[in-house]
Amino acid sequence: MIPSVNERYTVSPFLLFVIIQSMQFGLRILFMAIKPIELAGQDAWISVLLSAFSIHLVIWMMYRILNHNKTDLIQIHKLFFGKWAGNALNLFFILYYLLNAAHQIRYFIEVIQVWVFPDIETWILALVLLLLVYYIIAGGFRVIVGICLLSFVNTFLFLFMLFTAPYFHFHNLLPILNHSPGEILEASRALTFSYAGVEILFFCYTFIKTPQKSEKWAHLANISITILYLAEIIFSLLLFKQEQLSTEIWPGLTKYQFVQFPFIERFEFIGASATLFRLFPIVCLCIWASSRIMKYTFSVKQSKVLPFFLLAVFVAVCLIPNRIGIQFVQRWLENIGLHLIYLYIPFLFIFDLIRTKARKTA
Amino acid sequence: MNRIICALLASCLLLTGCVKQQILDRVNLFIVSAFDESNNGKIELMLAVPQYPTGKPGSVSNELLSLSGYTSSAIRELLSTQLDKPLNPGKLSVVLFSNDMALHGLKDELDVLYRNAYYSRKMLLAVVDGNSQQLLKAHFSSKEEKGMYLYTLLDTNIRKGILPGQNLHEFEYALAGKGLDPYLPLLKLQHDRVMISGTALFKDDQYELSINERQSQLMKLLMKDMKQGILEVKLDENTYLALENVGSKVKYRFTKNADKDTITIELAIKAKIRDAASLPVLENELERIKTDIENNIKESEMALIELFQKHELDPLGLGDFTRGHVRNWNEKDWKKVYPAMKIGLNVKVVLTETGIKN
Repeated sequence: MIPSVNERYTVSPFLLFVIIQSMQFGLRILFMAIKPIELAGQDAWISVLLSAFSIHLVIWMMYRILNHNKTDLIQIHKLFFGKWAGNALNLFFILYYLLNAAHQIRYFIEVIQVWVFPDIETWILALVLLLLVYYIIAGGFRVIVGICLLSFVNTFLFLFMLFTAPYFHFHNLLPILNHSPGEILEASRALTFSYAGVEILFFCYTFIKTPQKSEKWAHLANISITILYLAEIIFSLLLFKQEQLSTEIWPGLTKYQFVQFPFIERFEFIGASATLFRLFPIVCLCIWASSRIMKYTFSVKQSKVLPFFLLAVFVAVCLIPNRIGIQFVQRWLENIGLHLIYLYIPFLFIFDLIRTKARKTA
Repeated sequence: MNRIICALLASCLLLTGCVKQQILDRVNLFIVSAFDESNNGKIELMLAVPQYPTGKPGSVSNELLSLSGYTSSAIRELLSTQLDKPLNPGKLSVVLFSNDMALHGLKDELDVLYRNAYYSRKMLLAVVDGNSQQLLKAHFSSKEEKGMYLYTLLDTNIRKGILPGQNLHEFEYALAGKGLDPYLPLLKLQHDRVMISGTALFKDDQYELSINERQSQLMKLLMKDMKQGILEVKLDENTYLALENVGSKVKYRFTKNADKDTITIELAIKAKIRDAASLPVLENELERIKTDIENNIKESEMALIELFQKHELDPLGLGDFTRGHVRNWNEKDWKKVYPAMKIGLNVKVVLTETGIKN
C-alpha cells in the first residue's frame, strides 16, 4: 500500500534546506514588504519574527504527522479519510499547486513586460518557460533539486541592496512598538503568503534519504528565509517613507535602480531578468508535486499526465489578462495558503493524535 | 518525446529576434529636459538631443526641440517626428522646471517620472529662476554637451559639494513623507553662464520660498555631516574671516517637557582658518575669535530656522524627527505646533590650525 521511493531517486537530507527555501522565496520578495509595512509600519519586523515562529511550529507539526505515518500526504489522506474523501483532498492540492504555478509564471511575465520588454506577448514567454519546465521535470526529482540549488545563486543579488545605503534614514525605525498588537498580528497574517510553500514538505518527504534526520534542515531553511525577509523589510523601511512605499508596486526591483556600474548603467534589467532563477524552482516543484499526486490518486503515469498539466497551466497563464487578474488570483492563493497552514495542518496534527489514541485504546 | 522537446527548445533561440531592437547608434538619447508653463493649462517641453557630427570626432552639439501639449509623453512622441532616429528616454538625468511651473506644483510631472521603469531614481531635478527653455538655449557650455554639463554642475555642487539638493528619490521621499518638505537647487542664467543661485524650498509640491547660496550652505550644515566648504564669518565692522570646514557634525536632540517639547540642534564644526584678513591670530586672541565665530554662525543659523518657521516650511525634517520620539505623532497637530516651537541651537567650533604663519 505504502509506496517507497527507490533509493536511487532520493536526495540527501541537507538538500531539503534548498527545496524549502526556494519554495518559500519566490517572486514574492519583490513586493512582500509593502503590505506588512502598510499595516504595522516600523514594527513590521516584529510581525516577521512572529510569522517565523509560527511557521517553525507548523514545520514541527508536519514532522510529527509524517514521522508517525512514515509516508507522504497523498497516502495519509487516504489513510485518514478513506478513498473518496482522501482523493478529493488530493485533487484540491493538485488544483492549488497548478494555480500557484500559473500565478508565478504570469507574475514573472508581468515583471518582464513592465520592466524590460513592454511589447512582449504573454503566450510566447509562457510557452518558452513551460517547455523548459517540462524538460526539467522530465529529468526527475533530483534534477528539480539541482535547479533549486542553482537558483540559490540568485540570493547573492540581495547584496546589491547595499547600494541603497547612502539613502538610508535610520530614524525611520523609531519609535519602536508604536502599533497595537492587533495591527502587528494583522501584518503577520499578510506575511503568511510569503511563508507559504513549506507544505511541499508533505510531498517530497519520501524522496529524502533519511527523512527523520531532515527536520533540522527544514527549520534552518525557515530561519534563513526569515533573515532574508527581515533584511528586506528593514531595508525597505530605511530607504522609503511608509507613504512612499505604498505607491510602489515592486520595491524589490526599485532598489536595483540605485545600482550603477561604469559598465552597467541600468542594473534593474539584470535584476528583473534574474528573478527567473526564483521562478523555476517554484514552478517545477509545484507541477511536479501535482503530477505526483495525480499518479497515486488516479494511478496514471506521471510522464503521461505532465504535458496535460503544463497545457492547463499555459492556458491559465494566458487567461490572466492584466494586473487586476493577477491580483485576483493572488488573493485566492493568499486565502488558501493561510487556511492551509494555520487551519489544515494543525487539524491534521490533532486528527493524527486522536487517531493513534483511539487505536491504542481499541 | 524528448527529441521533440529539444527541437522546440532549440527553435526558441530564433525568438530572440522577435523583440524590438534598440541599438545605441540608432536611437536618440537625451540627457536634459526642461518643463515650462504654457497658456491654457498646457506645458511646454524642451529636449536637448546631443548630435555627434560625422568627421569631427570628439565634438558634440545639441539640437533643441520643443513643443507644447498636455502630457509630456505625448509631446515626446510628437517631437520624435522631427528626428531621424527614435527618441529613447532611458538616459534622462537632469530635469529642469521653470519658476511658474514649480509655483503651480510639480506633482503631475513627477508622477510620470516615478511611474515609468525606464527613468533612474538618481535623476537630478532643479528649478530655474525664470524661463527654463531660455536657459537651455543659452550657450553656456562650449565644450560639452549641455545635459552632461548641467549634470556635472549639479553633481559637483550638490552631491559632492556644499549646496543642498535632492534627486528624484529623495524628492519623492520628502514629498510623500510626513513632517518634512522637499527642496531643489535653483538655477539662474547670468551673462550666458548657468549658476546655482540658491535653493528653492517647497511646501508640498509647490515652490514656496527661495534662499540664497550662503543660506543654502548653512542649511546643509544643519542637515548632514560635512567635510567641505568655506564659511565666511564677519567679526567686526570690516573684518571678515574665512574658515575651512574640515569636519562638521550635526545632531538633533529631543527633550520632552511637560508643556512644550523642544528640539536642540548640536552643531560641532572643526575648522581651519584660511583667510584671516590681516587679523593678528595670536594664541590669546584665539579663544575670543572662536566665541565670536560661534556666535556669528549661531546667529545666522537661527535666523534661517526662524525663516523656515515663519513660512511653515520644514526642509530639515524636524517633524519627521519628532515622529520618531513621540508616540502617536500626527501631522496635523505638528503643523500647529511647529511655527511657535522652541528650537535650540548649540554651535561649537574647534579651530584646528591657523595656517603656516602666525
